[in-house]
Amino acid sequence: MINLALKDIKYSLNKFIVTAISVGVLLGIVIIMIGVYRGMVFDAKVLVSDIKANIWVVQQDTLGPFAQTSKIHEDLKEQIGYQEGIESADAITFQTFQLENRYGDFKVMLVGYDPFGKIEVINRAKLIEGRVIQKQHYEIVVSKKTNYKLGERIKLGRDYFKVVGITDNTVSNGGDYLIFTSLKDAEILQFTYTNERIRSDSKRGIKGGNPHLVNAIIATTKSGYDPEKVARAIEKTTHKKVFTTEEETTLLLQKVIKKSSKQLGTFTVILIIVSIVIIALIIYTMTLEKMKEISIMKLIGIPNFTISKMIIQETMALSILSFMAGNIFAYFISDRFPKRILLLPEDAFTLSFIIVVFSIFASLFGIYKVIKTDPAQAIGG
Amino acid sequence: MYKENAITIENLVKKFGKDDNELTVIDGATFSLKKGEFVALVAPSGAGKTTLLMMLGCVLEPTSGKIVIGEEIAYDDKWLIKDDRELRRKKIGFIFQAHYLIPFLNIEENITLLPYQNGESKKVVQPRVKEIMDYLDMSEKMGSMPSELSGGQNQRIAIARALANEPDIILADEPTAALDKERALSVVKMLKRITRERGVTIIMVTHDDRLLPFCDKVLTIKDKKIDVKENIDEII
Repeated sequence: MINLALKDIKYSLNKFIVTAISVGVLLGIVIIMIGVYRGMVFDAKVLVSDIKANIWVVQQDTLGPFAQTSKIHEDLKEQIGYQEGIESADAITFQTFQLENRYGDFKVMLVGYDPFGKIEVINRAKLIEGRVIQKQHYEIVVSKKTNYKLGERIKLGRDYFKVVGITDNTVSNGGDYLIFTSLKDAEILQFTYTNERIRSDSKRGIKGGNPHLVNAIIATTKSGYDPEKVARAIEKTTHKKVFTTEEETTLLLQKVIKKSSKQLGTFTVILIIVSIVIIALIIYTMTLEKMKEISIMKLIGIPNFTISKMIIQETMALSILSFMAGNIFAYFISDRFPKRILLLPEDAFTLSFIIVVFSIFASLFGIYKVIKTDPAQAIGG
Repeated sequence: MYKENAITIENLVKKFGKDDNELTVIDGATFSLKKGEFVALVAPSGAGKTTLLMMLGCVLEPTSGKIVIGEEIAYDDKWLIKDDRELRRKKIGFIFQAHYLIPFLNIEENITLLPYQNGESKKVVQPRVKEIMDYLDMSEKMGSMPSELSGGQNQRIAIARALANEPDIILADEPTAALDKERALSVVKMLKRITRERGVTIIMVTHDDRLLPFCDKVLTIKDKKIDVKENIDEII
């Protein structure tokens, strides 16, 4: 038995490949959009999951430190440390910076932590070069994507910091690259003002200096203690808002990136719909282009089933080839985006399933046209 | 009753349109053609030649009348066959003014498409196709694409395709119209030979009087009526 679809594809192979690649690029864009969405959701959780704490103490009546500004005193960590069920507690700060180097300017989030604290803030698994901070001053660990090299000196505020470590895949909930300094340096950067500002504050009766405020106290619980119960107990005794890591993650997803993820999700759905319409039109047009041959086949006695099978097989071949081209395209360009593009195989397969199903649905229009075609059309009768 | 006949037509009527716009093209045609006859269908343009051919091929539904293909009643005021395409696939071959080969199939595939569709095995089909191609002197073109052949060669391939499913009837709609005089004569001689050697009945629409001497009968359409003439000289 002759496979008509295979023969037709072989006959117009170049056209078929160009069509498949064009559709593939369109699918690639959809895959990238899904990847952007996934990347954003993933990034939102990276920092919280990298910090090996399971309790977050923040300013009362706030949703800090990410969803809302939170400022609490650094020494609160001593009080938290003595709470029942707490193994260790450390202070932590977060602030954004605009940095500039020979590769351009970019936004970073600076994480200030106690290098001698017991809680791991820099995920060791992500430290690809150098070491973590081991001094109270002038050492910095940067994200690989900032393009700083080990040993390089970076000016932050009034001081220079030496790059002692480089991390990979460390980003803030907003997708900005992370840099880490000691808590002391971070406080200086946050609260040391210019001389003009100090004089201005003084005239207004405002006392300057480091107020030793941090954004959160992070803590770990002893084994056998439920972080949830410990958190509620701390809330009662300290009059601060306390979240478990799970609650903090939920806050990030539901408050911080909710709108942007919804916007991106909506745009992705629209893009999928547009792609389906375009693919459907291409498949329908492919069928219409063959109407003369189809009429001849019907006239000489080829059954509808054989002709329909040809259309379905060509549709499947186009869908599969486009899907492959789309994935290759997405894979190669995903690294060129400044923020994380998370390409998940399950997303690609779900998309391919949707595309194949709708392509077959679209080919049904072509098949309907085939069934309705008068074979006499072949000879213009 | 119809044993000796390849086609029998009784009181066949074809009208197009309705009410005031109704147009009768064929009005009460009755004739029968024997197996192995080579018949020309001659009429002015627009007289209904292709319409008649399409009705005989069970492509176009008549308004009334009877069509019998071999011994099978295909139409008797309504279609009596379940699958018109199966009937065409198994009993009727078509040759058109243009070759109308499937452009994405090579010559061998164009010819074997119908036999394979009929469920015939490669073992049966291959020797038959080889024989037909030898018969048409086209054996060396089996692997070529239609676009690689000349008009005359493609028309011969169209004839081979029409013969490949061993039909009882071949309906040829001006098969020589696109060919020069020499090639036209060669094709008609070939068709004549096919009727004699293979017992196939061929109805050939033509405007070319020079081809009529090769035919056994001539069907003419005049004033919507069909006349069967066996004396070719009378027509010429």
